[in-house]
Amino acid sequence: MFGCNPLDYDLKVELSRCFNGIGTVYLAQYLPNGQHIAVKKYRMDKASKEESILARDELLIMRQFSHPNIHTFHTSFVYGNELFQIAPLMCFGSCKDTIANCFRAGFPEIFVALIMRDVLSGLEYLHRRGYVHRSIRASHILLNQTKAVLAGFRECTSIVGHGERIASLHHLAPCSARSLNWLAPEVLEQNIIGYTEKSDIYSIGITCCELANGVEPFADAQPTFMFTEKVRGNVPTLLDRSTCPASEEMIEIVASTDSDSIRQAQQIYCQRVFSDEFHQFTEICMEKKPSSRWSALQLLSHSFFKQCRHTSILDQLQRFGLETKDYSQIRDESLVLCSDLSEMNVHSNDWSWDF
Amino acid sequence: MEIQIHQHFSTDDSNNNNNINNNNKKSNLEQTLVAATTHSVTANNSILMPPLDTKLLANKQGLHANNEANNINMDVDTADGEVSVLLANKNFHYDALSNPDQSFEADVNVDGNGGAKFVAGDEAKQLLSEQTHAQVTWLDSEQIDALDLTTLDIGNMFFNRVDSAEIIYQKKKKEIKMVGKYVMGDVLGEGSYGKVKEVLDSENLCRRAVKILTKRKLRRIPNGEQNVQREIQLLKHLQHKNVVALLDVLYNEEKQKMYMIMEYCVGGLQELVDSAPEKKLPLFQAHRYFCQLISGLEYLHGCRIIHKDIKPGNLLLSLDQILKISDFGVAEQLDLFAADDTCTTGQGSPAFQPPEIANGHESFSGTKVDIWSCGVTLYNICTGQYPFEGDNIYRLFENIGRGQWQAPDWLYKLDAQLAGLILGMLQAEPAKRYSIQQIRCDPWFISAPEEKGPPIPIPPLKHDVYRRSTVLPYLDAYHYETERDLEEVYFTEHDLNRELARQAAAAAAEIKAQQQQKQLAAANATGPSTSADASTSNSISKEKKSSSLKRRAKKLTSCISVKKLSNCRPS
Repeated sequence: MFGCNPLDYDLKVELSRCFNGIGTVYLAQYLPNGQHIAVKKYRMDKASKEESILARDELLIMRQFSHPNIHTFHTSFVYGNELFQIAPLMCFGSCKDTIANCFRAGFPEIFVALIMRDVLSGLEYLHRRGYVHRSIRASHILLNQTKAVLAGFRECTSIVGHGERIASLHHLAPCSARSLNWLAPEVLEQNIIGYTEKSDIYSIGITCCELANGVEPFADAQPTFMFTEKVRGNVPTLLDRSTCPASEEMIEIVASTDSDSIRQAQQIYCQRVFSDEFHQFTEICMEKKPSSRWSALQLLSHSFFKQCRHTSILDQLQRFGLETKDYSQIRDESLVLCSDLSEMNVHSNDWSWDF
Repeated sequence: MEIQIHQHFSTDDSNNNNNINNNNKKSNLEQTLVAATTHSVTANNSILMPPLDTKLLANKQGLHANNEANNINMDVDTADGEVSVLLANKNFHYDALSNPDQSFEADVNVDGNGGAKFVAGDEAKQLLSEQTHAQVTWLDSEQIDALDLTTLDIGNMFFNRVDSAEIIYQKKKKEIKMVGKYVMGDVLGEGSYGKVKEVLDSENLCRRAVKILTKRKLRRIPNGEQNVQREIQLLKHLQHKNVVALLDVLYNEEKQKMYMIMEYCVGGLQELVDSAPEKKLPLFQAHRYFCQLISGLEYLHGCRIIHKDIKPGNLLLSLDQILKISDFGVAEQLDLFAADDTCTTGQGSPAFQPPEIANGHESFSGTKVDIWSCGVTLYNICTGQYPFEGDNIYRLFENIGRGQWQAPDWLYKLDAQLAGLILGMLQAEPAKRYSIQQIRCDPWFISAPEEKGPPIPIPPLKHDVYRRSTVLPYLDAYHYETERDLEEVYFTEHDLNRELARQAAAAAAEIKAQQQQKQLAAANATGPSTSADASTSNSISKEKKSSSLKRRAKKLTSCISVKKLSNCRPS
């Protein structure tokens, strides 16, 4: 359906960057059929050997999955120095982007419930297949009008090795430095007990806080402090009227020193009320003992998701006035110039003066 | 580990019965040993400690002798997280440095109780009485290391009876120490080159191990610095699942130290074998490690590296039981244009050396040396014995070099295929010895032995079965300092012993209760499962408790044993 000729893809606008600046995501149109898709380009010349292995493994792992709530890709190919990954367009980008664009103080509860239901059903599929995601966070949950999907499989690993299920994993994922705040205490501890797929459930809890609060827990903390806090069993909370702290502590939570934005955020937090189910749901996810955490399947039957019954992501998007533009109208003219320039750079080495 | 030695002598008008503290002490890492000596008559005042900032003893007694002239020789041994401090008074000759014409001599004789008698002349007493402040020597670990250098006259070393109330411990404060971006933890092990400590990368929170090398100690080892340089050069370029990874090298010019940041490993195969009953591993477990050893070795040989020191002690295990070949101190990288794998030097461990080295051949095939060592290693982990033994290195080499080794009959009974493989690897003739490719085709290598029973678990470190991060207490102290009791805590050996006795009694009672409970549980086995569950969970929690008690109780015995006498080293 999608070919391997990069000239067939008309890159329209840069959506985001990822993977330490190696990857760039574009909104593009596939010229042969006019469909809008997302093109992820990896500059492989910038990647180290380990990073290129990770990029390759991510594609290999993603290819094994087939689930409506797991991000997929149509095709991938290498052109020049670049690795192209052609994926369905997730028009709202990641949840982190959406928070930054539209919900500075976090998503409303109903939205979190809808997203989490999708993510959990994707996660349940992953766990059933014997995979641990290891980096669930808002920036790895992509949104479009109808659903949320789980993406970001660079740190995903199988708990099946040599044909048998491995009892537990022990090591941090390579390049996990940026997802440390979401990791479960038993993952960070790196001891003989190790961790299982239950560590993903803890990350779900942290992600719930991130989605609802608009900011990740431990955003401003030193990694070592975050580590000791988690080992001590201290967990972040959803911020609403019952839990909203004093303004001094807000500085830490909001990770900003701007007093206006702190006051604003505090005002919002103090006015809203999250349901008991939501509070309970995150607490269950962030149980210190992995065995007392619920599995993804059990969590899907939690009463927190009752509110999702008669609504959908689309309904809620309309309610909050989030709409998508007509893609064909979007075009970033500077992008063409940029790509021309970068191509020129590539070729400049080939020039040789002929006297 | 910081050790503060505080020695203070006091003399009295009457018979000088000076008890010199001669501690032979292993204390746990949590504690700093403050050793204090006082006159036995005034024993109780030794508990009075000086304000730490002045580092001087508040003098409560009128008569005090300067102890500057005493040689304090001590050795700190932290091989397993314990510290032994050896204090010896060299010869009790007080050289009154401040007053040369009034030099006095003190005679030392050891009385029947092993206590030292100290007789000083009248002049000496006068001299001593003039000195109003006893000098207290505070030493940190580096100074202690430095003291270690001063040679000790063993003839003058003696052990002394010291009242248990006079030995004062100070609770060790866990103070965070950073090297680069790494937070230091506790000691994992110690070699001739220095200590290996656990560290935590403060940026990505990965557990790591650091090999701390001091220039001073390296100089003492033949080819020490050269070997380390070579090891770093080699390890930098190696990347394999079964070869230990060197991640970073840091230098501290000021302290003359080098830090090699390595992968974190829970321990060596040697420790695992030692912890096993009969000192051997079940065959399936040995097979698992051996396969990894061969794949690591294949990689090394592919990189033209001859390890030359393959033995269980140099094979480490990671948290997920992956074997890592380590210690490339005597390894050799063949020249890129070398015609074959001929080596000329062998510096490995004697018991693992092949006949060609035992017989002193000038050159030999390098890869076959490693194969032989692998064979001895496999024999050792499977049977708990060595194929060649000897009272000393000459006998050992004589036995190794004597001729073709024959696999004993009992080995064939244990597993005939295994015996065949070991025999293939222990061929006296290097040309006949198996190559890695032949090992890979061996029937025992191909088919894993049946799993009978559980594998031998990784032995606990300081009674921590789970090998939790030892950096955590330091981080706790750093991040929650205000919550902690900042006061100095002192307690004496006497208190400690009493506490230990109390705890031992409590532990015994608990074990008894536990056994009773087990019997009860066994009796109730037919009963509802919930009650059985409850009792097992109960007993688990009790086991945990008793293990922590054991740890404390261990100190009692360690107090009288000396781990290592560094001063016995050849100078």
